[in-house]
Amino acid sequence: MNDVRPSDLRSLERRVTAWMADEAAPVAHPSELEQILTETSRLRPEPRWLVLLKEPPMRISGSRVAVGMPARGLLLLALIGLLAVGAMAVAVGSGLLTNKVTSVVSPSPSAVVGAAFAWRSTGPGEQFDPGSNIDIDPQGRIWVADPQNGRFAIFAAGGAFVEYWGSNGTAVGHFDLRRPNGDGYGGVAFEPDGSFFVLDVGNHRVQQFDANRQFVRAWGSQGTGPGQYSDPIGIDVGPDGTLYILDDQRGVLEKFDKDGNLVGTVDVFKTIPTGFNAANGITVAGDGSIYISRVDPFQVQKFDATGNLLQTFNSTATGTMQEQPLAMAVDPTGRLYVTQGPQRRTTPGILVYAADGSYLFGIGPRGTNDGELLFPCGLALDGKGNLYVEEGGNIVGPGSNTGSLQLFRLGAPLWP
Amino acid sequence: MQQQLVERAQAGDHDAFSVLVRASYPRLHGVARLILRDSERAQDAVQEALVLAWRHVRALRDADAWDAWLYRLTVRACYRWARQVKRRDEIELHVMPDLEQAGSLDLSTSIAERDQLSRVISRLPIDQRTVMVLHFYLDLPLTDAANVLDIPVGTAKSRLHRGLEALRAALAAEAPAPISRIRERSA
Repeated sequence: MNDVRPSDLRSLERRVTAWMADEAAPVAHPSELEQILTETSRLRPEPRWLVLLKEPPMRISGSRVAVGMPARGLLLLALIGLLAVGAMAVAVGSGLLTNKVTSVVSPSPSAVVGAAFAWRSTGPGEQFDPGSNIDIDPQGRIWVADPQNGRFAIFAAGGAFVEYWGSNGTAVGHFDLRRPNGDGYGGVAFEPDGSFFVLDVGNHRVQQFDANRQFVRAWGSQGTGPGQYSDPIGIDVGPDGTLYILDDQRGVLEKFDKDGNLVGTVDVFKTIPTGFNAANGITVAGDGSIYISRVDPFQVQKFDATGNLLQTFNSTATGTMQEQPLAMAVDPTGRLYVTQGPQRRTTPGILVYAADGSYLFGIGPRGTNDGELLFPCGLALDGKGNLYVEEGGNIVGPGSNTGSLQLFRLGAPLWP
Repeated sequence: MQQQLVERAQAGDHDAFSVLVRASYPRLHGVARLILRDSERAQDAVQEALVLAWRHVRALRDADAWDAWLYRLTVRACYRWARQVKRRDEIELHVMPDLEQAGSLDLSTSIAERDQLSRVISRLPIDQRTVMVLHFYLDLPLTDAANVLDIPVGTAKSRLHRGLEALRAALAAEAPAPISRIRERSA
């Protein structure tokens, strides 16, 4: 609006103001108001502690207020809170949780347990351009995409930075980990023998390497046919070694064997709209079930290996997911850990759901300190209760290099 | 006065709550109607917000924040309804000036302008429209609007700027051609 005169702007504002006053003038019928008052007269205000149990307080004009979710989740949350308090007492008493627990946000203050911030990368060489995928290799090392530089930052189990691997380019062994719109979306997925696949998003291909990082093969090109890619945005390996590649623009989830042969598809897009930015990622759980994070509405959907919809997380309009879900991890009990984007207001960066789809609590309040999250864009869970989070930080564009890796240790009752 | 009513409502006095709601209801309904652009959904959203307000009134620590709190509950309910309800088939009525009736030109031009504004504002993203509603309809300063929406002031300013810019561009692009009568078009 740089070339618009202030008087024109004021004129437009006056027109909008006048239009809104006119448009809003015919208010609802008094009978509708009476109906609301009749309905509320049958109810009683809930005790404050009960409201806060359902949702953390929010700030308005210096005061603290709260809004909550429907009462049907109340009993479950209260039960979870009580169980969690007991478990926390046991955990603290046994010295299991020795790190600070301020990194955990839950719908109930009494349920502030279950995970503790342990570590974050901060030193030179430990920060990177945020991507959207991290994975853990069979040796327990964490691979974090660094899209601007076409490489992966590799950390040892527990967090120490080890090295970078890869570089920008189009030749084999080089990567372009960016989508056409500049988003970093590099992905890597490991076979149990240590060989691995890199989703080379910008080059519209998959590259396969052996456990010694020697190039094996590559396949794929830009297109809409089988084995081609339009907007490949998700990669994972199932428990049987099957490789899954998700392409939201093509609207297909394709399966490949270890030799790169296309062996089938899973029709998850019968419930998800097709298109650029329709989905954000895929995770295949240990039981072979497939989780897709979708954008509209903000939901994660769980499918069986043949594409039957099994569960929807954040299925109600009053759900807890305030922004599009991104990266996911699933623990052995079927609990879903999912990150949500930066426009989530005051809600946590990671939401935890039970296998039945009910919301449990969140991890990582909004912020930039240790244990706080602004833009958690990658997530991975190892077999020891270590939850690794790629925190994008205050991203201002490609090449921000604001990414860091954070480690949360899950304790009781989430992890034995 | 309002503070006392809020405190009485928090003590369980439904009559006090009724007084508060009667005073706020037209504004809340206007907000919902402008955000959702649908009277029925606006009614549903306001009802949802007010039921929640009564049930959770004891969680409000500062009685002076009553209005801001109600606005926030209403806006949130509107967002939920906007996401929940499937898109419906829409018919747009384009009202154009009737040049055959020169005597009523001013009136029909005004109606056409309103119709044009209505269509353009309805097409704005809901987050931009919401900031405009809070700022222009409720006359809230942007700092207060940001507070209601629980977003940074800079974000509120940005949404308002983008909304106005989109509005200006759309209005400029829609140069009305003089066509008599009311023309109906399926969206």
